[in-house]
Amino acid sequence: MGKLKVQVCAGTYCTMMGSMDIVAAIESLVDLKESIGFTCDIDLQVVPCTEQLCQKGAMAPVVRINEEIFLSAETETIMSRLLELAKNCQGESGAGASEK
Amino acid sequence: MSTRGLFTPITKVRRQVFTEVATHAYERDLATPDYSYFYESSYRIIPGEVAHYRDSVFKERAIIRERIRLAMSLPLRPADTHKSFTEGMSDVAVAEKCLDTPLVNVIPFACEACPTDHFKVTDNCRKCLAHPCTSVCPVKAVSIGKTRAIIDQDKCIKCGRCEQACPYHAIVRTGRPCAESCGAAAIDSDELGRAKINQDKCVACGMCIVSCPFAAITDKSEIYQVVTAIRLGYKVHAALAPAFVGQFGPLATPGKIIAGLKALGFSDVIEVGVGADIGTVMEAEEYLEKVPREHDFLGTSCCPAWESFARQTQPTLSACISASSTPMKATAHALKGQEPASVVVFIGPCIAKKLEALEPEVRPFVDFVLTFEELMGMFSAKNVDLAGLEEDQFRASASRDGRGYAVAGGVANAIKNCIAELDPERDVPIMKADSLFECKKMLSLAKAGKTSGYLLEGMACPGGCVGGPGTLMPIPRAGAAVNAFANDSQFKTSLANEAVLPER
Ligand code: SF4
Ligand code: FES
Repeated sequence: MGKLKVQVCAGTYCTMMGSMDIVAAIESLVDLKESIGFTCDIDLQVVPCTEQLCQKGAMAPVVRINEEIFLSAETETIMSRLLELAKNCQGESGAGASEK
Repeated sequence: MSTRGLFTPITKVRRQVFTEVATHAYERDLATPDYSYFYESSYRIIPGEVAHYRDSVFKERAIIRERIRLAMSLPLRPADTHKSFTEGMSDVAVAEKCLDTPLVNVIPFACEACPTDHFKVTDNCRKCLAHPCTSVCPVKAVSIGKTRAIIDQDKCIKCGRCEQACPYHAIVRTGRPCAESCGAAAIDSDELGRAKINQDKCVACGMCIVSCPFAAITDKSEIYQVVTAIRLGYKVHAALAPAFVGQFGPLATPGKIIAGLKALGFSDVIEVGVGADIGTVMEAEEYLEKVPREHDFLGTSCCPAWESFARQTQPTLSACISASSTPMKATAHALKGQEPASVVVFIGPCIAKKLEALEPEVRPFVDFVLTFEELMGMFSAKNVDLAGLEEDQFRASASRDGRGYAVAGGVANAIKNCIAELDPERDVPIMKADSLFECKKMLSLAKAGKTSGYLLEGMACPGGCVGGPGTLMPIPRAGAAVNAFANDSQFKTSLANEAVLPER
């Protein structure tokens, strides 16, 4: 099974701009796994503000899916991107089913 | 359903306003402040020339300006006479309380005048042959029109039978989200059909603020005065309500939040849970002494919205609501006793506490009240990255039970445990309510004499304080964080807390 690595920033700016609601939304996908044909494992991590991608709030919240960065992320964009990736879920390396 | 507890564009705008107000409070030149900054704020929050949420970008900015005024503790401006946006700002740029009633305000031109409570036939109606809606209506208010059923609103008595009978779920009950969220039935209409708060009934629970989908309702804030006090060199203490745990994200541990407050300029940070421990012991003793001899039951007093609601709606039961200090008052009282010249700021999830702090018995002890959301605006204004700070700690810790006050059921639990320690023979039946609607039901039972000997826990916010209007975290997450921190305490019950001893 493939794996998606999702990192959500929990720095001050991102938290203020709702990053924990994005976390809650991603977690809620688990309940819908069957109905949406989601076969990926999501490795969800909450990370600190290290690169200041938020630009003191102007670009918060910041979410990273594998290597793709989302600035001013919204629940709807993150969820739809995850669903897209989950459709042809081969994992980051493309090795797919052999992984994990 | 309501918008409460979800991060929406409204939440974002509210937090941006707090950040703008806090930024100016921290950065302005104290001698010659320039308030035109706030005109720019409205352009920063609503950029561009195209409307984002409403019909006009100018209206959007005008609403932001009223929000900024309220966030500075200023009153709304009248819409029909000229008054400059910055008028009065220099008067509130002080280290004193400027907040005055009305605390909760509808910004009239932001209100969309949603239709009031009524039954409506939607386009699900198939104009079926059976049309049971007409036959079940006891007052003949439903007729069949050209394309669908029609409800005569003048005749309708809102019994809901048509809604239940419709095979297509075509009839719905709909109304104003603000009025539906208000357990105190305090939302009336003005002459233009817009929401208007009946201030005699409003207990400032704040549910309408977080339920209005057009962000038309907001309360006043004291961010500006708190920051001014800090900048003028006063010793400003932060008293953190038990619901603070987890509010600033999973990486902002309690120790880091304490450090963050000091980075903002607070001199000391106190755990209000200690005040909750003191209050618990007082209420347990009150219960043992007075119930059932003097009072039929004992109602808790820590939630000011529940307390005023109970006193207002059932004045005859007033004596049965505990007279003990609330955790906020107990904490502030102790602090002012030690340092009379210090400034005490209560920081919590609650808007009703802002009203409580205006009461003559509380005002001398609590100087200002902030919500967690407003505090977040200050962290953001001062670029405080909580996760990166060194852990600090409280001088005195609260017990597990005192920390548990933040979650519905926690207050009664603490008092019950305390009674069990003081008088193991005593059995304490408990009843709980966590919303003003539930509180209303509980009070009617009490009125009917059905709660004799009970301990009644009343809370206005669904879920308890962690579900308060001034919070930032989804409620289940916040509750879990509070419980983990509670179980971490070295003291189990309020009575076991050594910090409570000198108060007894
Ligand atoms: S009681 Fe609460 S919900 Fe009702 S008007 Fe007042 S603040 Fe709003
Ligand atoms: S706070 Fe999230 S990237 Fe800076």
